[in-house]
Amino acid sequence: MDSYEQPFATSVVRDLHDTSLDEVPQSAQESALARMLAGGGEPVAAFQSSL
Amino acid sequence: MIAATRPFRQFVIKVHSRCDLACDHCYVYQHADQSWRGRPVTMSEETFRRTADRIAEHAAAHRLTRVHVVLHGGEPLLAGRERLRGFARALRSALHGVAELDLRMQTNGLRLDDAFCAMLAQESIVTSISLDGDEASNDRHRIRRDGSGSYRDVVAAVGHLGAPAHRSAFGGLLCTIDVENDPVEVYRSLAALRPPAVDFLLPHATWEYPPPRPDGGTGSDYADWLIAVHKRWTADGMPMRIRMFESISRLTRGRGSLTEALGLGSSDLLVVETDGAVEQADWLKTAYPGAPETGLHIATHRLEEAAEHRGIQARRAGLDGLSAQCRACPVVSVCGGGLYGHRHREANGFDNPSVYCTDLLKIIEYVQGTERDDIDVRHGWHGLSWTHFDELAAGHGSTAAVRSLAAAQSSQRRALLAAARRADSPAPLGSADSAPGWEAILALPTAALDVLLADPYLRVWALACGQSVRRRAEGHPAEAALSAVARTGGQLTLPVPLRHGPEGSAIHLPGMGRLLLGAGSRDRRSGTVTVTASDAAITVEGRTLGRERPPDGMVWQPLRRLSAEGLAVVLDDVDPSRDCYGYQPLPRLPEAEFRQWEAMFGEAWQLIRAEYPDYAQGIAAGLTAVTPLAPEPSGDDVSATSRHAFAAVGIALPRSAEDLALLIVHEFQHVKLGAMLDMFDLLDGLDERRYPVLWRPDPRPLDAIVQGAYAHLAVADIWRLRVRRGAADVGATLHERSLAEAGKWRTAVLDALDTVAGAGSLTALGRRFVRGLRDEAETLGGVAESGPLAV
Repeated sequence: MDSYEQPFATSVVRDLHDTSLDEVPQSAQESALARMLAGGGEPVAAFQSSL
Repeated sequence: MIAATRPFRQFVIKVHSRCDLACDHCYVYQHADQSWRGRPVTMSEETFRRTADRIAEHAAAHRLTRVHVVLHGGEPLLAGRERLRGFARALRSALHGVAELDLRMQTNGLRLDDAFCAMLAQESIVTSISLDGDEASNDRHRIRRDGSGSYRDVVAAVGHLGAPAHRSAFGGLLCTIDVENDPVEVYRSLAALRPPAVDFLLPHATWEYPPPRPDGGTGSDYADWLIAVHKRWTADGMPMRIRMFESISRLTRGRGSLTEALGLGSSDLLVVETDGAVEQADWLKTAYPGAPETGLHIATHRLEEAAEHRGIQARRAGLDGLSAQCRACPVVSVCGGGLYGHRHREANGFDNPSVYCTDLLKIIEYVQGTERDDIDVRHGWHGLSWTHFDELAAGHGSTAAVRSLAAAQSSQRRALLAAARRADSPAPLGSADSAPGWEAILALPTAALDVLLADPYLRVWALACGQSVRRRAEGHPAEAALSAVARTGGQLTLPVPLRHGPEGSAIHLPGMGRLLLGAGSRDRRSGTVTVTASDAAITVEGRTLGRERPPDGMVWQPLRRLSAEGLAVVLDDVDPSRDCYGYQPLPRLPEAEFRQWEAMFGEAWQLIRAEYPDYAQGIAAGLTAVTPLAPEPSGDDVSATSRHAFAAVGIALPRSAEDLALLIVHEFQHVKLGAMLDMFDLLDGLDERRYPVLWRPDPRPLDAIVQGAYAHLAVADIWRLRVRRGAADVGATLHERSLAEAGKWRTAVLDALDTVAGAGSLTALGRRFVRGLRDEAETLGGVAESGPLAV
């Protein structure tokens, strides 16, 4: 029995279908680029005294 | 022995041990450990070279495909521009052919000028700057020795680094919290500098030296401060990444943390001091004198030896390494006990919750609460119902499930198209040629933009354009806008810059076709051709393409369709971005070859519908293009999928419709799983280990093993179904082959799933996915397949 509480598996992809092209947040652009360029992974910067 | 040790992947190199600021909250100079006083001021070239060699040695021993290195201090810029350039090159040289290098630097920014920033961009040193907010907030602590503030010089440095020519080297801003500062003012001042990312750090503290709190009590001042930032950030539409908030969100969904300050992830970090001493994370300096020491040195010790150090092992113990109070906490998997150093108490070492325990609990529950609301209304993020998730995990996927994948792909293409436009726009580097095209795209009605975003190769192009300022958009925006208008109604006239390729000058209208221009064409000499989209058609020089003869010297090559009952896809043999499969795409097919495709495709689709209906539904909902690939001289089947081209597959026309059916089903499995991996982290992305598989001689990374198992399972299913048809129906040879291969391939898939499960790197979603896949695999009898597969 799974313990998922939500009715959906929520993804990391922002729903932009109602967003005009010039209003797509820069953060959404950059996270899409980063995710695609990493081939599915995210950039890693775990050492907290640097970013 | 060495290979069995969990490797280190992050290396902090202290290239300079002094600083030109005298911040009163600095853990290097102002806290318990004062070892910096006995270190060389600058790391020597010899010590750096040995460090680089040690890192390369470690990466090779553990087959790491990527390592992360941070140039740190003190203040690393004090090492000097050319010395840092030399360090970067030495590191890349040592790692050449061994592992990819993610090179970063953390600095106070004071010495950053245009020349320094140009070097950082040239050497790909992604640099972040420490800045504590607005002028009053920053200069409360970040001061020079004479007491003067650093704010104005640091903001000027951010301006240099954030300029278009250097922005590729801008990592973000690091802000240490002071709860006396106004959180919204701090947030606004940082956001105004348009950093790609920000992180807010809790000031280093222990139970002996607790963090300052205005009321002197044990309240939740730091959580309240962060909550105020989170509210402003979400109200602003999250204009940049904030590492702490993103990590809470990821950990809540069973994914990996982006910071060692949160989560139960194992530490994979080592520090090398300017004298070559190998140490643990240097924020341990805040605990007690000598806390980070390991007694190891890069001249005499391999990096693996650090894994045996008691302190490093303690930080790799996960849940078992936490205090009893932490282990019983409802948010322990997100908090992870906070930063290790913040747990220290003289009486019992690190066997305590964080000194920020109250704050961590409150901010985690706050962020989780806001996202739970989001999930309830499904506002703002794509998702899959568990029914669809489980359908896809079992290898199939209904029309609705595949349409959900396509919807997420459309949002991603929209984000990438916006990124391509941004990369193409800034003056003075922007290309004037592309501006009218972008303006036309911005003016497109919703339906036309949706058609544009459905182009399977748009992401390939946008990604290449958006990631590099050197790749210009050129004619693509105008071509895409014209094609979208022609296919949805309306009118648009634009000058379109010509493309120049091996087949001559051309314009390419995505989803419609290609117009080749002859050598003597007037338009070819001018570099543009004026095109009108109107009345569901394209007109050039008064000639409507496809209805009238093209203007002299021009050849219109419309895309041709492969139509069968219940499915019509484009045979795309002209898109300039179709070379994304790792195999050579064929040039425009002669009509006779198209007819061969048309006949075999129709037959293959009938087979899929009749024999493999569980796969047919998803293919009908999601497959929109097939690109012909060049056949292998050996005669082996050739087929491929690109993660960046959802809805398309590349195939060399095989020998029979049976084979084509198998290749289509197989490749569309990769299409579906690629789209799922775009949406969900099924695996811990930090695990770069490779494992043997039964379908290839070389060890494979975990994501490729999941891809392989997923696609092979479908092929297994097809062979199982062929076996069930009996020897009388499929022929004795095929029947024998299916039987002979069945056991072997079923074993291969199950073996791969065992490997994935045993690696310990599946996320919660990944475990559910693999469980579904295994349940399906266990029902199969036997399979076989052939053909090159990059999985």
